[in-house]
Amino acid sequence: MSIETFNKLIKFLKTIRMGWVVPFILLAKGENPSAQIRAIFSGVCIPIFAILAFLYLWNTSSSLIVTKFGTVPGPRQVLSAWGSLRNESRLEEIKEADHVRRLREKRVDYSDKYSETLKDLPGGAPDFGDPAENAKALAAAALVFGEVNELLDVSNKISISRDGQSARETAESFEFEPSKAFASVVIDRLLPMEIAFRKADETFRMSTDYDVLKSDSKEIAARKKAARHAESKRLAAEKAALLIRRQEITTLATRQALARIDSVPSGTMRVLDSIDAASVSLRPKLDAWFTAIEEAEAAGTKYRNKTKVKMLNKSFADNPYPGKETYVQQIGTSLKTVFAGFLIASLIAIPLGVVCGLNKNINNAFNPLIQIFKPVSPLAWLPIVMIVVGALYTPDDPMFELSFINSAITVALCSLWPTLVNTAVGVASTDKDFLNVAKVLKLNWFKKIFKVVLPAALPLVFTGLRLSLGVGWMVLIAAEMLAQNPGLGKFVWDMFQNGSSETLSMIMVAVFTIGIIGFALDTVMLSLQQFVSFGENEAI
Amino acid sequence: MSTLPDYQLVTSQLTKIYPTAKGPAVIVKDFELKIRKGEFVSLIGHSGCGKSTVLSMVAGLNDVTSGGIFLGGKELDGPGPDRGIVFQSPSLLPWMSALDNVLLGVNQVFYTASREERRQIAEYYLNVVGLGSSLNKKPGELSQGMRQRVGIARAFALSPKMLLLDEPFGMLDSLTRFELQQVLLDLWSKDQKTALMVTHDVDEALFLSDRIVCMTNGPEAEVGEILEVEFPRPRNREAVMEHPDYYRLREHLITFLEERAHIRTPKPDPEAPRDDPPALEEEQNISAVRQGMIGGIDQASAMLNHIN
Ligand SMILES: Nc1ncnc2c1ncn2[C@@H]1O[C@H](COP(=O)(O)OP(=O)(O)O)[C@@H](O)[C@H]1O
Ligand SMILES: [Mg+2]
Repeated sequence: MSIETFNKLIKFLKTIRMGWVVPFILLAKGENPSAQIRAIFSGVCIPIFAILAFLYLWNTSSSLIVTKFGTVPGPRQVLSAWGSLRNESRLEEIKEADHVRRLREKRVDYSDKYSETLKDLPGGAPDFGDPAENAKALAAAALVFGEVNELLDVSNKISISRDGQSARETAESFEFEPSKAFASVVIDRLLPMEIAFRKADETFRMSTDYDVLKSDSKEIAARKKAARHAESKRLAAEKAALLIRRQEITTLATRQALARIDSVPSGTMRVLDSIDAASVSLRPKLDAWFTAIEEAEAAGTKYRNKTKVKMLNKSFADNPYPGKETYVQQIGTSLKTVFAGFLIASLIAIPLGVVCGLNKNINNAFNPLIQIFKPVSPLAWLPIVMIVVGALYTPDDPMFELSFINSAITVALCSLWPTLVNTAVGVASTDKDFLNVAKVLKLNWFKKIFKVVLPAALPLVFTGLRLSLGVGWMVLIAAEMLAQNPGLGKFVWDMFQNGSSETLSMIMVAVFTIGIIGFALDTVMLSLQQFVSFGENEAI
Repeated sequence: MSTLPDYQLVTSQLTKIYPTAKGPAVIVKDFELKIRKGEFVSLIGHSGCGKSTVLSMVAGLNDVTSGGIFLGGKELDGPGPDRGIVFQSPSLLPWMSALDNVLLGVNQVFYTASREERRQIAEYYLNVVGLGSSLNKKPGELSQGMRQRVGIARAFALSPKMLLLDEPFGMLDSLTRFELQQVLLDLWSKDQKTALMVTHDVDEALFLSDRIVCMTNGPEAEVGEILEVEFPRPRNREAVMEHPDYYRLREHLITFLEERAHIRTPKPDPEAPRDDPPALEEEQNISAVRQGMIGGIDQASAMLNHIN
């Protein structure tokens, strides 16, 4: 690598906020080691130390506060909550695969049952391949999902056991080997905690030792109260630990289940895939056939197998898995919404900003409006947006959900301003030398704008865009909460509404997700901004 | 106003007044100048006397308060690509490559030419100024001197009626300055352009010009004296410096700047809105100019030794 490309690489790393890697690279090259060590200390060690200190303080202080949902979660509980969200999406993945499998079984079944009818299909009977092969593959798949479903049920069944003896009996009753093996893991690692907690919890609730009686002296009453408080705190901590353990066990189960699904031999997979392909190609043909029959019937000709065709048509119709949104999908929805809002905002703000920057009078005209609307909170915009959009957006077959549009427009209304203001300033403050070039060359208006003014203003425009995206992302959560757009905001709201012992950890997971994604978006925008800026921070 | 046909640029009673808080400031008054076709004229004078003001009025970037400017017999109206301009800072568009910067002007002037032809014109001038290998570099990747080369190429590529240069080498180190003076001289003699250059470097003026116009100090600056420089062309630096007239002319110019620049040829206006600068400051200015020039000579001979 030449020195030049090396320097460019280092510059690039710095623009994408990876400057802290640079001392490591230089150290590996043996360049001035003591300076690099110092740079690593100040650029890497100190931030890591700060994060560790934060985690330590969080960990020690969180368990001191007991809420109606248990103790305030510490870092480990939040991490565990993230793990259970991951489990949830793995479970959805497994359920969807099972859904597809059952659909496939049904379709093969129907094509067998109505093979006589299918012979009349315009274009000939469909080719589903060798029926014996198909049956074998379907049976193999059914077996896999039998195993998987039992496996996923193990920890529920075992953890309600009274003691180790009954748990082992339950384990014996399992049909498949993997479930039995997994049951022993659950018995070893989860069951003792479950039993201990249940016992402690029951004792605490039943015990009268903590009940303050009328006859108790002040002193005794105070002691009882203190004891009660201490015991409930101990229980809360125990429960937190138990939840973490449950989540670990579920992670093991879902991972094992997915591995089992992936372990289906490729030969079997190929047969199953060809069944799916045949089903997909049959779908439009059946549809067209049924329509043709209906038309013929309207014209007077009867077809005696119409009901059978209808049944076939229904079973081959597109039937996607109606699962619930997973956390990852909710993040996706949020990102989509914020980008839509950001796009709307940019499409309005950049042209308007250019016009304001070019003409002082237009700028003076818009300025009071900008100053008044800029500080308005999304919570104030949203009801207005909901009412207006609700009145205007009433298509029969909506391409976008109403909640999505409401959130996106609210985001746009709040994130419009930084881009607008920065674009106007950028355009208005175009270097006089550049404008003189345009004057001397007698560039026409169009060329002046696109060759001189806009490129000169681009760094500031991108500064504005970066600020806008930051504002948009911050505002989005509030907008989604109120508009019930199925993203992170709604997730937080739902968690808050159906309060459980995991509520707080889940919301904290959302807090970190929002923070980390916001940081990533900002880094992307920062890199873009550096890329379009010129002069000192030359583009790479 | 009738002008003789061989005068390319004529200024007549050119006056510039800026309204200021203290009342109107008359910067330039009744500035009279005639430049023949193909002539190289330098405008020399103390800093702040109004040289740039005159030049920017000729460029059309600054309004004329009264009087007129005639280019090729026609009165000027605003800026245009018929005058190639090189300022102290080259004001290239930093987001465009060197080639695109030159092409921006070429596309405007030669809009009837084909794309390929226009590209050839731009590449030709960049090659001539010695940037053939940096066509696609952005200004940020070029040194000061290289950027100024692009600026010169851009001005010449417009094929203008006239060149206007405002201290074009003022920000460069002396070695680069000498190189670029040569580049400018070569291009100028090849294209036979009329040129008006502002400078406060006496040696530069002597080396390049046919005539040197000395301006009196402001306010109300005007033409103080015009010096004919009759060194034979084509010129090279060594021959010019060894010419018997060189030191006489040089001494004359310095004397003008030191002693006579602040003496107005016509009677000075007692109602002038601005005071002359205090004597002490003026002396400092002059000695600074002088030191600069002496330094310039030392460097010049050092370089000649180096070349020989
Ligand atoms: N826009 C302006 N308003 C008022 N005075 C100005 C303005 N521009 C320049 N001047 C004054 O005009 C005088 C001449 O300036 P200039 O032509 O730049 O001098 P120079 O000979 O150094 O190029 C200076 O004293 C400067 O302060
Ligand atoms: Mg000047």
